[in-house]
Amino acid sequence: MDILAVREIKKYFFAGTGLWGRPARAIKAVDGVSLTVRRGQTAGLVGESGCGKSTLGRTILRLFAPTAGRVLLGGEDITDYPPARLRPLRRKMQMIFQDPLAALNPRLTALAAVETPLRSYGQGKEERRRLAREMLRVVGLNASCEGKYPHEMSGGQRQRVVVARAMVLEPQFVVCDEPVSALDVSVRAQVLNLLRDMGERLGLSYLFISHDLSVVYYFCDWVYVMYLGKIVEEAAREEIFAHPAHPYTEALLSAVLLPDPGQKRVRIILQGDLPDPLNPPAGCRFYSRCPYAVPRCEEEPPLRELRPGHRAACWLH
Amino acid sequence: MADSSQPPLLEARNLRITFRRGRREFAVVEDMTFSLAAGQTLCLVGESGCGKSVTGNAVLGLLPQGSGRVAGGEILFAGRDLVALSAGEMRRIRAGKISIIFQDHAASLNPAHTIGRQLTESVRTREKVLGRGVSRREAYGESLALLERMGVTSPVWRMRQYPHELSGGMRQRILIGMALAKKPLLLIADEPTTALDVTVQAQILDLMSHLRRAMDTAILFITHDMGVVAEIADFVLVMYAGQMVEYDYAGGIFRNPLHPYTEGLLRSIPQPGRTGERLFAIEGAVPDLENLPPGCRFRERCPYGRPLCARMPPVTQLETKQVRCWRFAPGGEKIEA
Repeated sequence: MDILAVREIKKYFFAGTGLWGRPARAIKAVDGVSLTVRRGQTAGLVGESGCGKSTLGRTILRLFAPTAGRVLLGGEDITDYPPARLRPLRRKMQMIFQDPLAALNPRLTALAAVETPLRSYGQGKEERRRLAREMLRVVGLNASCEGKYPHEMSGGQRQRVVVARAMVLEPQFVVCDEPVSALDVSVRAQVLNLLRDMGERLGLSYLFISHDLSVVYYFCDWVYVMYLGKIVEEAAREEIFAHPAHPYTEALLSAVLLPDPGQKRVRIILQGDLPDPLNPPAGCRFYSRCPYAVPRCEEEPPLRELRPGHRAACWLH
Repeated sequence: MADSSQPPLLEARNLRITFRRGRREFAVVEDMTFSLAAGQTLCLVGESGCGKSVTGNAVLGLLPQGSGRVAGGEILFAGRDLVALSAGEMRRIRAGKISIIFQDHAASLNPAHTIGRQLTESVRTREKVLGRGVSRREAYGESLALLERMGVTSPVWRMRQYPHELSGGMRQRILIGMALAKKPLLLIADEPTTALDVTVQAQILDLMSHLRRAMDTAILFITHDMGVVAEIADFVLVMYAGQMVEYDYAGGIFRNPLHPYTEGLLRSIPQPGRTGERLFAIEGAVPDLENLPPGCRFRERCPYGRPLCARMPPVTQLETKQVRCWRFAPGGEKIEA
């Protein structure tokens, strides 16, 4: 059973309104992506900055209106729901952001921050307070933190508040957008463990967006690799790490630096940067940086199944 | 713990750096001693606020004016104490001998000027400080050659572009180029790849190690990323709350970490191929430098904590390694008993 199914979703942004009525140029941030998240599982979405992974996360939660495609939450097509109909559903789907300092209102204490989302769902004041307190304990913040403002807390504490605020509504599906990238190394493991514990406790499903493959390997059951608005490869965790098929996945994996100086591996160093999304290359989008490029790559490769469950968009396979 | 075969190029001895807040002055770096020889890379590793960037900035006299100062110890560069230098002498050192690159590549370039103007200006300023003159044309030529050396594509066109028109990797490459243009003896690299994507990080690290081999530059590399450390370090100095806790060859740090903080840091990193149920996590948080507990600064988070740790542990030398922990201090057991 899938908690989330996304079908051929697109999100285009338009760069200005064209001069003299000329049509504006479209930035195809997400360009036809399909993915599913199974109930109780974690899907990872990996890619470099600017590849559209955050836009995809936000479009799934309907923080952006999709340009095309469908979003199904628990089998229910929510793509065209007006805000009023989305509101009760927002309880079921929450988001955890990268920068806790930016995500928290600087004028709300930890307790108030966690209590606020409950206001939309009709509990009384006492009940809200009780639930918020309880959730703060669950995420490992003691009573002395309740009255603290974001600037008085450490990075790890702030991210715990953000997690508590998302979890207090007992959601079914949570999008985590780089939840540990802004945290210090020793705190990262604490927050990852917390997310895993919360997942088990509430039977949650996650879409975990990250550029850090080692974190994705630890956290995710299924991995999607995104490049310039498209999924280029997807597979189960073990499969994709053991047998990456797309040259981009291969390069990403080889760029992971392991904390072990003895383990010198052959590193694939990609040339150049992510192409300008306003002018994506025709054909395969990875063509310009691909070490194995052949003439056929001027034609766009489809996402094809290589083995059951393992799909990649590359002519090499 | 320097390699004794080479004289050190940079040496810090009992360095103490303080910051002032209101009337209070507190130490952000204490009792730091390290050395670095030509062609070697020393990594300062630690979390935000541990004093690693402050240490790097202090070498170039870049502490915030009025609030930060070197309150004790010395920083010797080729035998001269940098702390005692006048502003003019320090400028000459910065112009000719020591370079620095920062994490924030966007803030390190002026958004209002083209890349070409900034590069040529930096070349001309440098030559002026060093008492040499260089024409605009010569400076332009040098800048262009530098972009080419850094692997920047279509350099003539890049010279006319503004920083916002370039990607982060491109900007960082230009800054590294600017920093290395004068063939410095020492490069201080303060988290140069932290803001970059992994594939671009791989490009930049590759470029840096290539340039290091070509020029024999010593690098003081500041980072929090143990993966980056494993990639480039010859020596590693692990910092915690303003102090050195462990200092060794890179191999010694990764294969035989002794300090409980180093050990915890390495164990808490998720690694492909290892999917245990839970990650090892160092519980708690870094202490506030303004209100440090007495004794060992890691005590409250340490799984091996014991009563003796209420006293500041001494630095113990064990073969190539230095470690600040009572578990390895000779006689530590006896003192406790």
